Amino acid sequence: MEPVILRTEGVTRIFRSGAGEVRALNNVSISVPQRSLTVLRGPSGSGKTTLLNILGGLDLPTSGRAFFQDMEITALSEGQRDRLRGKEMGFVFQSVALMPDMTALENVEYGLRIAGMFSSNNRKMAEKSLKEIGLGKRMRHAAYELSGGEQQRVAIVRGYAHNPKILFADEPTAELDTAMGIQVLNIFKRLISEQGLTIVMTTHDPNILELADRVYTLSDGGLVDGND
Amino acid sequence: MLRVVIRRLTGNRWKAISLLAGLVLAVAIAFCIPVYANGILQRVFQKNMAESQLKTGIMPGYLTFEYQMSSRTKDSAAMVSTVENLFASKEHIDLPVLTGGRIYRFEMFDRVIDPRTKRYERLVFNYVENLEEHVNVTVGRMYDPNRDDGVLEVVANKKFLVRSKVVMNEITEFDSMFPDEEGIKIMVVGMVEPKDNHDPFWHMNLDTSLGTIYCGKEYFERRIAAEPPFSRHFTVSFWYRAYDYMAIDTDNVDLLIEGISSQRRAILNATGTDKITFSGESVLAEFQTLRRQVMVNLYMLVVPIFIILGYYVIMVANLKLQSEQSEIALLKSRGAGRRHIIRLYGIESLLLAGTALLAGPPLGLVIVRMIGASNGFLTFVNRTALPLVVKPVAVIMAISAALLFVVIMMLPAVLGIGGNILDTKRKKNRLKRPFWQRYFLDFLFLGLAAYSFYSMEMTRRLAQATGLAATTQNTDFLLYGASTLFALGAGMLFLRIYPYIVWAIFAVGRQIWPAGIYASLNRIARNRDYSGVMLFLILTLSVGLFSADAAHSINTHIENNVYYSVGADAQYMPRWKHYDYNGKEVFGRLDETGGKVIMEDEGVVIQSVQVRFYELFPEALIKLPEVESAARVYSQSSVNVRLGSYIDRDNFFMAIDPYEFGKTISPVWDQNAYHINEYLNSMMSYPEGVIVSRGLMDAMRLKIGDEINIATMPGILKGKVIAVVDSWPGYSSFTVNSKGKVIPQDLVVANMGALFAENPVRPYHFWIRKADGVSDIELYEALKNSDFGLTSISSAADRMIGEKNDPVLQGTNGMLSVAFLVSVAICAMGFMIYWIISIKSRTLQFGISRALGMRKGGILSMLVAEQLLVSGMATVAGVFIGKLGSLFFVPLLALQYSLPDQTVAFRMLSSSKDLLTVLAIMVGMLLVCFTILSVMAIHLKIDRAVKLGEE
Repeated sequence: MEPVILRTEGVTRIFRSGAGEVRALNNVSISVPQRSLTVLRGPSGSGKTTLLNILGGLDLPTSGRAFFQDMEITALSEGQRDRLRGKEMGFVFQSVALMPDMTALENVEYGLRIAGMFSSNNRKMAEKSLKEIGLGKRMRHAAYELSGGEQQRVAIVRGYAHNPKILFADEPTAELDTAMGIQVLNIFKRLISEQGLTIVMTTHDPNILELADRVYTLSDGGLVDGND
Repeated sequence: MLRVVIRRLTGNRWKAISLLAGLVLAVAIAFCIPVYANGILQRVFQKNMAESQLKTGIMPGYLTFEYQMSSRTKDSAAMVSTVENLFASKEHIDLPVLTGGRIYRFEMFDRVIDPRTKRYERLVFNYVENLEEHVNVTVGRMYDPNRDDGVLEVVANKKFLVRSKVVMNEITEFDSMFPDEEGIKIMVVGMVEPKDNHDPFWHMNLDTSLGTIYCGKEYFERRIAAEPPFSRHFTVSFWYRAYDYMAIDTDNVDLLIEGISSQRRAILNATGTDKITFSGESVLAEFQTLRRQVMVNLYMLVVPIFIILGYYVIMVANLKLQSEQSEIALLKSRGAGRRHIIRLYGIESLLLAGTALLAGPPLGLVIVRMIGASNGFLTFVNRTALPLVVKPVAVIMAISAALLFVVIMMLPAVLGIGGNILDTKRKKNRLKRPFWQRYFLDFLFLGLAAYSFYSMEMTRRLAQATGLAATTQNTDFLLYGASTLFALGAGMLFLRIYPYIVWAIFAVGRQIWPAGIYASLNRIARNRDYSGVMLFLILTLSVGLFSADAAHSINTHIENNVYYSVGADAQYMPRWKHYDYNGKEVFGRLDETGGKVIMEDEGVVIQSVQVRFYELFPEALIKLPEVESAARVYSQSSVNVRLGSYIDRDNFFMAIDPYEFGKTISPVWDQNAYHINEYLNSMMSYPEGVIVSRGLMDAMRLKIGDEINIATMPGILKGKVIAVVDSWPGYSSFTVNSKGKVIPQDLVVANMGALFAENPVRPYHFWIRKADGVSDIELYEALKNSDFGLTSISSAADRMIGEKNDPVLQGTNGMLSVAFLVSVAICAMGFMIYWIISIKSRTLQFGISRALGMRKGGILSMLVAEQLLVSGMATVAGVFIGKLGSLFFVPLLALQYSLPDQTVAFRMLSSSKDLLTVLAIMVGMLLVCFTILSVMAIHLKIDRAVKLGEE
């Protein structure tokens, strides 16, 4: 088995608002092996997105810890987390998360820049990846001109273009048709096998669930099958 | 529905308040203009009326009608009562009456008092209605009109009793001036004195060289009704009314003028004569012109302010509408039609407008006070406050402004609400060009501005050449509007090409831009949303700067003119003593040649003596502590200059002592090719040298070195032309000749030493520079009590106050100050609102960038880049365009502010202080706003920001 690249220890996340408390996560411990496709699944409100955010360093738990490789990301400062995230992680959000005025190509280039990559090869790399995902003809269009599915694909490309170690994806195939969804899956699989990417995602898609290496089911902030 | 609207408004509190602020300003300004105009015009009107009384000695508001009873007057009694009724009625002139009455006056009797010389006394009888109430009987008693023994009782004033040979309480007989008519016997029974000489009752000056006598009306009435009736020569009746001119409301001047005419017509119809006068009538007519000037001026100055406010309101209303898109979508999905939504917005607008109508007028009154106290651009003095009278027109203006802005506010809603729910996401109209680009409004505006500029410039050049103050009421109206159109058009044009510039910057450094800058450059180049706020900034800055420049130029122009035309702090004419050729001082009147003194007694010339004058030197004056320096200046107008056989007339001649002159004149910026001291130095080097004006040089085709003959009063002076100037202190290039026509005037300046070396001394002025801190009064007293005495003095400060009190100037300064302040305030508000909304709406994007790994510093750099590219660039463009507009359009103000007899040309002047103030405010605003925004943008919770995008 591959070494664990990402794990949480007893992570609890409580949101306080004017109305009271919401316990989004309750003492959750998971581990994600390297080069795996790990799926978090559960109904909406189960806390899977919250867990994803904590794993990605976007959010801090109220208690508990999270580790990336051997580094405790929950102990890092915000700036350190930003840097780590920019370089080692990629994100694909559920919402349309592109910069609307940029073209597909520019969006990918933008992501590369944030990751600190300024090579002159950037453009070629971006173009290649976009072609692979079927956006060869559309990559010079502005993001708002693209369809939902096309935008999602751009977001996915942006997510891995900088060769992160982990790709987080929140419902990446939600707006894609079956054929497209399968294509994306193939890309994911290829990324895992050829580039050693680890993918952590949330999804309802049964096709993906079938192929997942590890599935965690969440309900009401806790793991259904208990912690690891 | 009302509840829904109120709930919405309170939810969108800040946006609603910002909209309201703009509305309140608009209403306040619309309200204040009529109030201010009324106040200032009322004040000026009363001042002018009072001044006319000083000048003419006649109280204004005095209506008199003179009628000569003639033998042809058929029914005198009836006519008398007709006229009485006409005068008493308020039909034509509806003003309070201070006093009024009827006077009969006739002159038909005389008597010889010295048979040898045939000297005679002629009696003029007066019946004055209500005499008893206005006189005190100091000696004797009042006349008894009913004395029936054939003797007419009269009373007389002191002058009569002194001058006439008539003795009191004795019956004196007079003969008729007509040989075949009866004489008259009179007895003076009393002496009378006016109770109060200042009573308007005494305006009718009935006094003759023989004094005045009064009698009762019964005698007149008997004579009028008698047969044969009066001979027309000697009976005159006056009717008069003294109206209280202080009660004239300036709004009613037109009515009053019309009323006077109709009164005239009525009396003419009734009596066949129209010898009617209304004193102060010329003031009324002048006032009409003045009022028109003031009103036009105010309304034209307000145009840019309203353009800015309108733009601001549209911008904010649009922003508000955009941020409410999802609410609208929701309403639509629940079945609300387009009309329903528009009605919603309509009610909202009306509510806001109603609130503005409540808050606006009080603010308007504050603004009136401010304008009334203005003494220059953004400078205020503590004058007596203007009377604040709110007339219906002010309320109408306020309501109109409110309604206008309701329409403006509704425009985004009416034009923008369309499409269905699905469209609201996609149809963000990103690359859609701003509507003005589609309709080429920028070229239209620039074209209009250029055309206005061209036509006004042509008018100005014409006026300058002919010396006429062009009647420019129409073109003036265009001027402020045109300059604003220019700013809009130039701004739009700039914004047309700006995205391409930014794109070029982006493309050039595509490889190297850090993420934040990359994002901002890309966004600005692609997305035209921000062009609205950039144009806004450009517009407000341009208007603000233009206002400042205009005010500065106008004020400086007027000040410089005063200083330049007076030349120094004061021009002072000492009391010149005349001496005959034996050295004895003689007294009398100086004749036109200036060389003879005429002594007369009671109009009879007794003697005329050749006189001489001894030179007065400035040292005696400089000794006075109030005087810092003084210079002798001899000046004379309408002087002929001859070169060869060619004679040029109507020239202004000045003889000076160059050194003292240089030390005494007011330091005004120079209008000639060289500093004035250079010219004075050459005059000192060449005692026989003269300086001429360019006009003279051209007219006589003079060259440097030519010798000209100048025919001055002291004598002929020969001078060598050593320099040519365009202007000179104390010299005006146009003057008014004896017939009242404006003619050009040229200049010759010579050395006083040269003038009086060959010619007898004639009286001259001293120009004075006051010592620091000395007032005009102190100077006046000092000079009056000095050895030289004082004949007259005119000071620059006096004229300055007079100019500064000009209502048109005050209104201009006030409105320009208001325009400046409004631009700055609106600029700040619009700026803040725009950016806050803009940042809020992009929270998602910031969240994404952060989620992708951008550090806070990166976000900061994104914002900085954006601010520089949008606000920073707009500021630069705004300043540039504003200055450009000033360069073009401010000089055109010369049309309105140039007078034919001014000495200094109108120039565009900027105060760098104003520019720095504007820039400082802009930068300050940017920093404040930026701090707020960065705080907002950076401290957002990433995960929540990203979640925002989730459905």
